[in-house]
Amino acid sequence: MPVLELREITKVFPGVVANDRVSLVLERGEIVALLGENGAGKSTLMNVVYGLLSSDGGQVLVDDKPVKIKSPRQAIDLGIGMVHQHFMLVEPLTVTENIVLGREPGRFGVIDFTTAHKKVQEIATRYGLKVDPDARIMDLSVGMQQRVEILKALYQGARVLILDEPTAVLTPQEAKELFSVVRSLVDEGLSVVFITHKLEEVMSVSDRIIVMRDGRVVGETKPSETDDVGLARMMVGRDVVLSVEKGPSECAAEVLEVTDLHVKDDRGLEAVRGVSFTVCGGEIVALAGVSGNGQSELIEAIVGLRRPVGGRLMLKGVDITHASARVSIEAGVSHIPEDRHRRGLVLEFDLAENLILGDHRMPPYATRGIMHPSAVTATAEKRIADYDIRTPSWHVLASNLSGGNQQKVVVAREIGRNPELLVAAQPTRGLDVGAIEFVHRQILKERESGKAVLLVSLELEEVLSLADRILVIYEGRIVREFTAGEADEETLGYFMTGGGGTKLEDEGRTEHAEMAEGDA
Amino acid sequence: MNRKWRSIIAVLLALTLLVAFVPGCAKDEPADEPTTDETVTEEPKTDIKAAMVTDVGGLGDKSFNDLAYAGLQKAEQELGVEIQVLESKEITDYESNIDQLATAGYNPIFAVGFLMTDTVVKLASVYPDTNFGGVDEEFYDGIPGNVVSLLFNEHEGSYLAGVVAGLATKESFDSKLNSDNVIGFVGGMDVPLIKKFEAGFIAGAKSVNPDVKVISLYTGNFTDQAKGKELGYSLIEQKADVIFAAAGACGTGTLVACQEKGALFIGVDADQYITIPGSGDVMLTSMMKRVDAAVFGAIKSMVDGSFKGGTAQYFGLAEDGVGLAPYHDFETKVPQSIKDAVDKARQDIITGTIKVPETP
Amino acid sequence: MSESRETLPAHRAWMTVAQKVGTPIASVILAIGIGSVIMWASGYDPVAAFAALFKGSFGGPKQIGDTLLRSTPLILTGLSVAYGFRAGLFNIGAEGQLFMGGLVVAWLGVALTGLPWVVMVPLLVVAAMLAGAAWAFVPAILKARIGAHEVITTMMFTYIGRYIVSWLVVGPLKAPGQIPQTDALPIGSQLPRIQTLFSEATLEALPFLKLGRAHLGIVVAVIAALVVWFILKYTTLGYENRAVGFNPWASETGGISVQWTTVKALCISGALAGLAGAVEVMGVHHRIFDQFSSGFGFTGIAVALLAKNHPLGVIPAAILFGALSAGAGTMQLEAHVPQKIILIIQALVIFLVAAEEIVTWFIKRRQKEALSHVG
Repeated sequence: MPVLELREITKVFPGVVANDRVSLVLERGEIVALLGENGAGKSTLMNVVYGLLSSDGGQVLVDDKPVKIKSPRQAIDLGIGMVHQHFMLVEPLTVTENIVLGREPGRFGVIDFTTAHKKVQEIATRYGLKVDPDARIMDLSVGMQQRVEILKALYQGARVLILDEPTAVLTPQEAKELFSVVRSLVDEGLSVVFITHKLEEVMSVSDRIIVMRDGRVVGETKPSETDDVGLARMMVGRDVVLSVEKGPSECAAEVLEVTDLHVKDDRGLEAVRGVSFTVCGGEIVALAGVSGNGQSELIEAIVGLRRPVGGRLMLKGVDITHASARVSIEAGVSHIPEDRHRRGLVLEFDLAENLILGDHRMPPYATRGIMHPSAVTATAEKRIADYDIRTPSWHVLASNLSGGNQQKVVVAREIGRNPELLVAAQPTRGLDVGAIEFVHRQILKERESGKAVLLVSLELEEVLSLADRILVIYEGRIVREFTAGEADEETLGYFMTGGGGTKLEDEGRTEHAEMAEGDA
Repeated sequence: MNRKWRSIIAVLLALTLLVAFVPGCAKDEPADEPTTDETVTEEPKTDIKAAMVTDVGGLGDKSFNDLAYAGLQKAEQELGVEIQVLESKEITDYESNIDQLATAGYNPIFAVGFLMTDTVVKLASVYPDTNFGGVDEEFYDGIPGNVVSLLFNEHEGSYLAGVVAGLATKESFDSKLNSDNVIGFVGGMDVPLIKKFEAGFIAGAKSVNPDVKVISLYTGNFTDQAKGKELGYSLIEQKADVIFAAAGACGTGTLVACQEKGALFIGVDADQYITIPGSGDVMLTSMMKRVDAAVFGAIKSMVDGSFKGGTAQYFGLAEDGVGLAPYHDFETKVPQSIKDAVDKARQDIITGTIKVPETP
Repeated sequence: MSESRETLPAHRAWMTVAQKVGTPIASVILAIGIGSVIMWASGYDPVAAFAALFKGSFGGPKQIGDTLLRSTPLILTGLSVAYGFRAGLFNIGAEGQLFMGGLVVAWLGVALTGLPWVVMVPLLVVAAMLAGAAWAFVPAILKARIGAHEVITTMMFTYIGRYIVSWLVVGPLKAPGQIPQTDALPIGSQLPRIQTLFSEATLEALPFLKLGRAHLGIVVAVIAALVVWFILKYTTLGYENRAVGFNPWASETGGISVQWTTVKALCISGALAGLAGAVEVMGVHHRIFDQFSSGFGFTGIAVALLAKNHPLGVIPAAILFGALSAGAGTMQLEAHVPQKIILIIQALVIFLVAAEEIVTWFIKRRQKEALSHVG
């Protein structure tokens, strides 16, 4: 007997069918992955189940009984819990307080915290969800906060747990822990719906995979019956090139030369401690490292957002060590920032305005401080077409685009500027396969047209497939350098986490020095 | 839950709309009825319509705007004139308010407060057939022919307040009095008009108590009660035990300071024991400025045809235009010696034996 | 939900425009409604009151002139606050900048007596704008350099400015006479009333030009609104101003100096407030004194909020506040409603605009309702 069944669910937004007669069955004790590109209708479907949206047709059955779910409250009462991408926790309250919020044990409005505490502890131990019940939410990491959300759903008696893109905000380590938690939940008899667009997650964690495209279910499969390529094809509706084809790199000329660079972080601690390397035209150099080892500070120094405290930066023979972001852009540095919402886009601007940010002072967009809207919109229309940004027009605000399309806007702007050096930080974070493929193609195009590319990514797969050379950064130093094909994920991971110690680090530096000599 | 909220809002909105339109449709104008009744029963002796424009202090200042209005009301009752008051919210209102009243046929129109002096001059020429009364307004470039300037000898009344304060600070008939021989003065704007209060007050105090220390502070306006309170605190900290405030509405703040920190207070313009209920514990007396009498007198002169435009009328002790209010709660406490000294000073000023200075 | 947004630009754009204009209008209507209830409950006739209010503010050319007179400084202070808001800055100290602008005009206008009008007026306008900008400059630098919050610093500078004026008008700049004020400006440095620009014959032929007290300042204010609109929409200065207001981090990445933009924005905001002081002195009072502004700088905040920080929206918003103020006298005279009621309505408008969420919430609810009925 299925715990949850959806029959022919239809949801129409004015002008678009978000869910077109979607049917789905969830059995007790299984993990179903709901896979699809951004905008395929996965979240809409689950929001219908959770009572956040009302459906325009179809039926929801819980334990074979038809139900009408009009609010999350009703969903919870039926044993359906949902963890959203953006957590709904009260930051200043403790874990226990958040979990019992809305269902506080006790009488006459007096909360019985001893009981609450005990119950939370009990559930936490039972499912192996370790978390300090007295910690305040604001002091917890994102992964821990997600755990609290899951605990809250369990506390409310969830038998079906919906996770909406749960790994989007997690580090790879945290994601791994989440998967083991999910595993132990289904072992205890729960059922989990896992919304995602990441193929590898689907393959590693799910029992069954349901693929959605354009509001419809286009296929159902099992990890054992398919592979990445097959899934990607189902999801996108065409063949997707997951591996990158590229010829050997030729170093035409050094574009970026970094010499003994020292950079401090916001707390005044030295985050980059004497880094030297070069990036040639027609070459992709990747910086691999665990987050927080100085990559961000290094990039900010290169693009002019942070002043180095020592060392030198040269771009095609011009000293840009102390250049501002503006001078750096004008010198030919483009930057795809790692946090597109914070650094990459002005969400309240329309696409045309976003597509010229950084170029807005220069002709043809402006002369002597007066802007030329026709030039701005012409460029916007061209870039929207060239970079396949899915939008009805440039009038649309950036905030109204999906994540993938937002990233395309940033990529279109930064590459469209025709830079000498492209600094791309986590350019594919949060994107679905189709978009990832697109961004990778654009980066390779830059390389082929003789531009220098500095790639920073936490995704080792991406690093390995794109880079001509890989620099491993650890605690603010470059500890190792590899050429393409020389390294694999394991080796990289080993050096990224400090493997090899000081000796190897020295070796790495010597080797690097030799390489630099060789290059010269 | 949503539905519930929606219906509540809908009902509220419907009510709002109903309430906004129904009374109008029903031609239900309760406000107008009593006025018509009144005019019928009163049997007006005159068709004079008198009006006044308040300064930005507005009605309810418990000081001279209210007093001027009291004069107007007295004229309504005793002379049967129709009255109207327009309150000003900002300086820009002075001109438009006077202008509207003149257009609507009000005559005379009283402009209360010296800040309206320029406006009165301007509009007196625009409306030559309308008479104006300028309360506290001194016209340096000559008084227009249709304007009467109503002025007060504030220094004379303040002299009496000074006598009371100067003697009281040496006494101990109330626990709030100390032996430091310091009294205080709080002024509104630092302008000649207020300086007259200060000068009279100091002269009166020194005449009976040559060693008394008088500290004077100014709020800079006539509306900021917080400032008045702050200055009250400051004076009391400097050991003042009797404080005279000639600062419009600011004085109310000073009064509160006296109540909180323990000092006696002398009110201004009206008998503030009556206009500020609950002030009896510190209200020693008030220096009354009979704006009501001046306004009433001017209207009366219109009614009996003796209105003399282009002149200034001075209201002093002799005319009963200024004077001290009763001691009220302090009536039994205040020693006879003080009362006698006040009477003597009044007689001497009226007879001219004492010449009170107008500048400190 | 995202898919619906992306495929429905026209629908959404229409919604946004309607919402932009709709919420302020709804707030005003609601304020009038609640004000009516209050009047009715206290025994006044709201219909008569609002009829009188309308008559007193738009009933004839003279009344319209009075409304324009009162709207003039509010347009400028509204622009001042709105421009700051567009850079993410809350210039709460427009009042102080207005005082400095007024002070400089009152002083220079007299000191330079004799210069021809065509030289004098632009000179005074520029001087006042510089004075306003200068008064905002220190808070701007403090904000840019050490992050001192502009709400605190501009407010403090307001007190300093006001007290400087208070002191000067009783001291060094005091005109003879008992009133603490400066000397009157010579004709050559005044902004004349609009009706004085036309001959008697023209005025007879075109009676709508008899705009009473309205002076050329209204023209200055409207031009200022157009200029600010142009700056925000068509210049890199405005582009950077808006970018920084929305997202300083992305702006920084785009090569925009957030600090420098902040300084420029606050100084321009100050210049507009200084201009407001100038037109008040040059067009209305012809001198400065302690209370020459009845909090125009603060009402400007409400105007900017009501206008949703749109420079052209500032004009109708300011006219609304000007009309409420202009009609208050007639309302007292004809409907016997005390002017405090007008203050209540003004406060309600401000409250409802500030608490716009209430209104937006109501609209959203209806939209959601409409959406859920589709299909």
